[in-house]
Amino acid sequence: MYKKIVPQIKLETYEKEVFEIDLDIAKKFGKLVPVLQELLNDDKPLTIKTINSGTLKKIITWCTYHKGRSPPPEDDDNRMKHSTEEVSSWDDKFLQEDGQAALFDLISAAHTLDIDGLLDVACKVVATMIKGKAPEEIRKVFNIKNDFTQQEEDQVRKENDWCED
Amino acid sequence: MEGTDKHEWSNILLEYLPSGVIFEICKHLTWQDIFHISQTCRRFNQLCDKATIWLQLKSLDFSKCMIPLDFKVLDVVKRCPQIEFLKLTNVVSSENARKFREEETTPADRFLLEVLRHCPSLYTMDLSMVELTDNSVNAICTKCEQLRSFTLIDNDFISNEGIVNLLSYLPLLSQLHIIRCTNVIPMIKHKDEGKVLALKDIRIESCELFKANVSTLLKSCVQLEHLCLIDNIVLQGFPNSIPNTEKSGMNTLKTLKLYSQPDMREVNFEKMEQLESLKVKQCPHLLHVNMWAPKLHCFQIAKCENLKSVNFYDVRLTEINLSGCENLAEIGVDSPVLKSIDISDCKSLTAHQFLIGINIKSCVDYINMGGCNKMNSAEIDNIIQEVYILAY
Repeated sequence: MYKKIVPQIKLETYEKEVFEIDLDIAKKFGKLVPVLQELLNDDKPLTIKTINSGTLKKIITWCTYHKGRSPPPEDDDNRMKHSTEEVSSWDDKFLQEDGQAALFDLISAAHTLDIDGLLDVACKVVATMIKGKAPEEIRKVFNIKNDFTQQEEDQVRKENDWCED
Repeated sequence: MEGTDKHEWSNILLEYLPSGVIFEICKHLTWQDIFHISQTCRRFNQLCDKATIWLQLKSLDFSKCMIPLDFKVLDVVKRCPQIEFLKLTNVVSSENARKFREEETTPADRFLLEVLRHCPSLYTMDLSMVELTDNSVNAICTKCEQLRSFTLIDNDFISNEGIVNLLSYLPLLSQLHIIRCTNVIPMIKHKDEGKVLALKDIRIESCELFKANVSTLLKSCVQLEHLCLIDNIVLQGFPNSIPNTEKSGMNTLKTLKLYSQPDMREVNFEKMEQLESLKVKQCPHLLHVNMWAPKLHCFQIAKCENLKSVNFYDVRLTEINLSGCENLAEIGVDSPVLKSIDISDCKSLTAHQFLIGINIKSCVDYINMGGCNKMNSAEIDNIIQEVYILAY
């Protein structure tokens, strides 16, 4: 059977699963760019212990979807309005569909592998979960344990009460 | 997220994500959000004290702040030297209240000067502060060379001279909005006669604006693309041409909005080569609109009760909206690409006038004639029938 030969690199995840990744997708992984040639020649996969298989699958899907879609250029008009580009509905759904833990795994992995676009859009999604919320609501959304003493909390609140809406 | 998840990943954001990622997230938050995070737990409280987190902020908006104490606002500004967008409203001064004399620096001036010392790279400034004087304008001129957009709202002291200085010293300024400033009769021009401005977008609202000012504005801004005039009570008309100049804002204007101009009598343009959109609303004394604008494709005139005639030459309009122009009797729009017509509540327009004035034998597929009392039902049926046949 005819099979199109695409240059690929091999990555091994935390679960010791090996993934073959097309070169043009691997190019998006900033951290790997300097060693890509080596990886292409090497048959042994590169092990990245901090990334699990589910996350790597998501990353590949994301990069595949966004292949050829470049972000709009930053121009004077956008800077003046200070409008950041909205998260597309596809990204929003894709990033949130597996729950918070998966989202943070993805952010961590995007940070580790240095995938600019993905890190940016995922951080935007987290930011929208924080925006406009009171401290107590933020604790609830992210399960943050309040480890202030009552006295500290009163102090912190007092320092900040002038800025409320 | 699932319940089991919750337990297992408690404190996930804190313990799991490196500070670098948290800083990335903070890029998209406001200064108030960061204050809120700092109140959730100890780690965030310490993190939010770090300079790096505040360096992410490009924008500071204090307009929704309940008690904007000047020294507290200043404290936030000092943390954020990289901001490009700043929105300020009146602050609560910590100085002792007293009356100040004319030409004296006000507490607001002193506050703004201190703020500007800490923001060297502002792109956009939006100030709703009553007591800023020309002293502040001069400070802006020397400290904000990068400024692209300036908005001044509800100010009582800044003068025409201040505005002219601002425009002359900030060569990159492309957007200027002046709203309810009692001491300004907006003089939009360069200090050196003959020099032109880079302004592309101007909005003047609730100011004492005369037709001569608009002429000066069009003469000085040869790159003007958007002009919006709202509720400027003395403005009687829009200049129909700018004599003695080869280039003027007339040749570059793309959108023009004239809203609530009670004294506006007529709009006559000889030549508006680039105009794409014209919107006129609530100008009760407007009588005539005549223009030559080959690129115009969107045109709305609403609630101009006394408007008698509308004439367009050489246009490629796809949409016209003349709803609520009760006295409109004459209409002339010869556009081969007209698709949508709204003449609802044009109580004085006869079917005869309508059919002479508008060539519906083009590609019209939407027409609203509700409340056209001068037309009888047979005439309306006739027109609709014709459009219907053309559309299907």
